[in-house]
Amino acid sequence: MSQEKSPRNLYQAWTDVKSRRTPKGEFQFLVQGLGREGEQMPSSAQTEADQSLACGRLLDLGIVAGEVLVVQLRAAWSEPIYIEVQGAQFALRRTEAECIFGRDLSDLSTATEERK
Amino acid sequence: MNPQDLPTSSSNSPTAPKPTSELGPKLSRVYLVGAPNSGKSTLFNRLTGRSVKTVNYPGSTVELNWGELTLANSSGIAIVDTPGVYSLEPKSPEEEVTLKALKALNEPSQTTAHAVILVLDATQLQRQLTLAQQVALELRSSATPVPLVLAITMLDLLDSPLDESAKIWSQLKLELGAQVVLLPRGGAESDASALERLVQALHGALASKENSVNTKLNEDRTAQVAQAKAWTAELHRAHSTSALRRKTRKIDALLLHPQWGWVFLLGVMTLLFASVFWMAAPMMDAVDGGIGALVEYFAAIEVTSPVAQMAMRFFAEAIVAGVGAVLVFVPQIFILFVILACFEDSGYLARAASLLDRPLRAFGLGGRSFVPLLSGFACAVPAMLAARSINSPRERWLALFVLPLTSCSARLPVYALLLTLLFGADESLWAGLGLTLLYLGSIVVTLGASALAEKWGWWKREASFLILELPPYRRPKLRNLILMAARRTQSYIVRTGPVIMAVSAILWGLTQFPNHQETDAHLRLETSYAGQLGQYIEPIFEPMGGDWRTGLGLMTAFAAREVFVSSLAVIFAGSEDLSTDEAEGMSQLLGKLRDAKSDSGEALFTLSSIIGLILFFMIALQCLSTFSVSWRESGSLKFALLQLICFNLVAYVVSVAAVQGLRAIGLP
Repeated sequence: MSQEKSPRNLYQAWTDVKSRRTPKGEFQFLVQGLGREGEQMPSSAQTEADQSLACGRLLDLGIVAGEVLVVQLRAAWSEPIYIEVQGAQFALRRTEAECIFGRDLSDLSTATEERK
Repeated sequence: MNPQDLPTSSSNSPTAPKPTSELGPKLSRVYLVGAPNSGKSTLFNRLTGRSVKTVNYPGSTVELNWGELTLANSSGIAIVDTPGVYSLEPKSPEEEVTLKALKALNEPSQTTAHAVILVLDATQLQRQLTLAQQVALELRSSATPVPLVLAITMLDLLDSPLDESAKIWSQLKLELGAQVVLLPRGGAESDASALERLVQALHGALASKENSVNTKLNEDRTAQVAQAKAWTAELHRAHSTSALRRKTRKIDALLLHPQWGWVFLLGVMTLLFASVFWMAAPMMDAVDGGIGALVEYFAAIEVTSPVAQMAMRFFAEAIVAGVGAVLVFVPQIFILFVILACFEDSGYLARAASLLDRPLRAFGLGGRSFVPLLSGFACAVPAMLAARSINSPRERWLALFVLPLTSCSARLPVYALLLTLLFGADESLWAGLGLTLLYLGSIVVTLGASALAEKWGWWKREASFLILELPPYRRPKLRNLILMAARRTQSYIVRTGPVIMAVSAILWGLTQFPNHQETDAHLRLETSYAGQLGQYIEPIFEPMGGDWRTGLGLMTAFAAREVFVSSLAVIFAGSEDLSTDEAEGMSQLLGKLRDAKSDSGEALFTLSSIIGLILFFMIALQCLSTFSVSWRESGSLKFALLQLICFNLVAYVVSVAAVQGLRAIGLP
């Protein structure tokens, strides 16, 4: 039986789902917070400064805990990551996607089904 | 000259927006505030009858523009269009402009009634109502009441119609203390009645003396998001935008495809530059024919007095032929503007910017630099203003630094003339491909300069982000595209026309006097003031493969690049006409340039000298407006001077190296 995973950042969830599914698809991601409270990531001071600024903008866009994002799996390289929030589409850099932590809902539904 | 005093609007047209420095203290100001791409500029144009650029890309407005309200016999009300904001915590220079404008409303010295129209996109209502709460809270704290009116746009993009009876509007009226006006797009009649309602609401708001914002509004950002969600919960179930999103997703599946997306992007960029030559050919022929006929008409007028003869020659050679030499290229500029407008209107610009973010970062730039860089292909002046939407100061400085290297429309007449000279007038296919190569070369030079400037520049790496909104796709309307391109072309002619005419007139005088009675045209030119001046400057331009005449042309090009073409037309009009007696207009100029010989009897315009000239124009910064705007936008004279000296010096060295290198390997 699989265990429910601890919150992870959107980029990690994206690479994980992408490795398992066709790049044409999409998945839903439940936001649990913004910032670096998710899994610890090695980063430079520069990345931290970029992420701090990005967090402010993500909040401006209404990305808060409880919001469900639709994440596209396609990308030219490992970025940009295309997300949909409240009906609007945005392109994010990897460092920006790493600011959003939460769970991908496909994992949640799988875990719930297995528990049943 | 203070750079702040310089005009920033690219148009002198009566319909162009005015800078806010012209706003009188007695006018009531109504600020149009809202998220990027919510329809503020479109509404501004409809309320004022003016013509600010409206595009389907977030961040197209970067400064305050105003115009007087012209509807419903209103007077004394100035409508001020502001750059879009996602929140009242600015994260880029253009967002700071809006916040400063709102803060200024709070000043106790305000004696005239002011108001704010918050423009909300119906398809993005939940997200934009967070901003609405922040604006309402900001206005609540003002010393004198500043009423708020909500204008709801984009209603036609919802799956099902949404009218005034929806519960949310009364809720917003109560909670935000704002009048709500719906602006559906359903033809001219519906437009007019909706605008009339908005103007009535505005008059009512300006007359009110009370601030009726709900004091219970929460200042916590997360709570604001939750509140917006609660207000719109019912709305989202009934009025979704799923049809619009489905259509957008379908198109994105191709245009943002990991491989096909790139093929498409490269394809449209190539088409953009190549088609400028091919599509414009018939229109250029028509303009050229018209100018040729005009010159012939003036030449055929018989006058006896020497003064009248001189005046007739001045008119035909300096004015008609000089200005006409540049006017011939206006169709190409118009087509370039139509294609750029098509890009801007469709919603593809933001997608292209997102695709290019990663490659551009390798050169110190980012996806947000793409739009200023692309605008640079039209003109570096508005492109430098567009760079305000870049949130990272370092990226913005880099973009400002390299923008003069993008091949602006002013270079187009020069490239077109030199390519036609190189390939011949009948080889428009090769000339078109040559132009595409030149544009690609300009991109390589721009990015290379950015990489070098980043490495050696004094700019400190600062925090930046992409987070780019991708608007839904919209089918561009041909009428809008043509109107937008026509306005920009008109602005181009109005801006450069007087300069070209003045330089042509002065140059014509210099090529005719003091020996204006000399009948041998070649001798007259040699002994003219221009000829005498040319002897001094010739040593500088000789290594570039030119003589004093091309040198003089290059010097006049510092007034405006395209003046080079009109200058050649004027200078070579005074030279011997060897084999092209029957040709007219541009063909005549081309014939004269092909036949032109240096003092040593060798052809003046050869493969090497033409390539040398092209390289010089590709790199040199010869535009005084660009220099001034660079000074203003960077806030540093040192920065602008560095650009001026660096680019011109490098242009000269590269041009000389190319000419001498090509000659060393035996090419003409």
